[in-house]
Amino acid sequence: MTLGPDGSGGGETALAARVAALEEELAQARAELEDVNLLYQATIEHGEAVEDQLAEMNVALQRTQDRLQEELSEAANYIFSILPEPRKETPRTEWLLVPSTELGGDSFGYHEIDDDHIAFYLLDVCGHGVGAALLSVTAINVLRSAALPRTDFREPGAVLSALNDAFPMEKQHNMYFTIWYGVYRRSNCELRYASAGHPPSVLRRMDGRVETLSTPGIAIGMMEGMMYRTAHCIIGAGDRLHLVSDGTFEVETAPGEMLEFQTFVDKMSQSEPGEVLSWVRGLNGPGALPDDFSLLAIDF
Amino acid sequence: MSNLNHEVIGGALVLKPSRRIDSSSAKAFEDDANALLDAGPKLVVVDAADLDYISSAGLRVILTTAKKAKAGGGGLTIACAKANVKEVLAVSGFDNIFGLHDSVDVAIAALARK
Repeated sequence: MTLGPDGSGGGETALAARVAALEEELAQARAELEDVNLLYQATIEHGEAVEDQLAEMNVALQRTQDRLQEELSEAANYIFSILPEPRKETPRTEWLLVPSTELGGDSFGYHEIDDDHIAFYLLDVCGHGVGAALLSVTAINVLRSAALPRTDFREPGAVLSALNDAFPMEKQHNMYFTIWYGVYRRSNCELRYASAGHPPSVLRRMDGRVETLSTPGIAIGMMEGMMYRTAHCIIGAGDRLHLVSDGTFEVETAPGEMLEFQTFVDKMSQSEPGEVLSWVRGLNGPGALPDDFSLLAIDF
Repeated sequence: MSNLNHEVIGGALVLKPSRRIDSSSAKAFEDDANALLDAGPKLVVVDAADLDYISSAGLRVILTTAKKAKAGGGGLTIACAKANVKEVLAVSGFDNIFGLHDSVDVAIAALARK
């Protein structure tokens, strides 16, 4: 069929062609819409899947965090479990240890070396956290079980020198520790002691006089081949000895103003451990103390 | 670029930390001191004249700097510490190990003799 010049007959054909073309276009549009719909559906499903996955991961993360938390608590429990019970018989002891974070580097101990000698010690591993706590516990166990070769544990200087040989920082993940170690001999009332980079222990005499006890020496593990000296004094009945770590008094009393050691000594020598802790907390203001607080008081 | 005040006097590297070396500033001190030690003399004087406070984190970086200086064939000593800083250096035993001097000149002379 050909189109006549007047358009008759041919007009219908053109319309039919146009309709066919439109129908085809419509079909294509429908197909595209279908594709888009499918894509949309897929995206929604994917989104839901991602959400599910995220939720699952959140649960897993929470589980991991709970487990880590539990293990940290377990480690903290272990550290507290190796700390000795307060002694009820003379020399009597009373102590407080408050880690700044969950795990700290402070620990201490005391034990009878033999019938005549009793050792008291407090140490502070640099830093906080699991690493510091591990070294702290190791060192305490070494002291408690007298596990240093050829060392007389009644001789404080010798003990610190042997510890220094046993724990060089290069072999302890660059950690070192300060320590105060003393041995009291009942038969002659003598206290022999040595310290390594540690704050002096504070001896409050029965009559109220206060003495600080320390010997020169750098922290254990800092440098090889150090020899530590022993000093001694005579203890009287009614004297009280305080062992502390630096975190016990290193708080700011005002921005940039650190508590003076002497002020702390004055307060501590007239107070019970609990009062000292409240006082230091009060000075520090709200929040955790910046470092571990440890105080071991010994009454002779 | 080092933020740590320093100068080289008589063949010695003089480090002059200001105000505080504590846990928040210790790392910067260590990094700066390390870089200066790598580039300059291995004899180090810590001029503590402007230092108001040093924490245990501060002591640690003095120690690591001293070890690095020693490994390089030099050494470290301390000068002009104020009373409270002196007290911390005494408790830590650093005064005996590294020496405390009243002036930078005396400190440099002491290092040169070692």
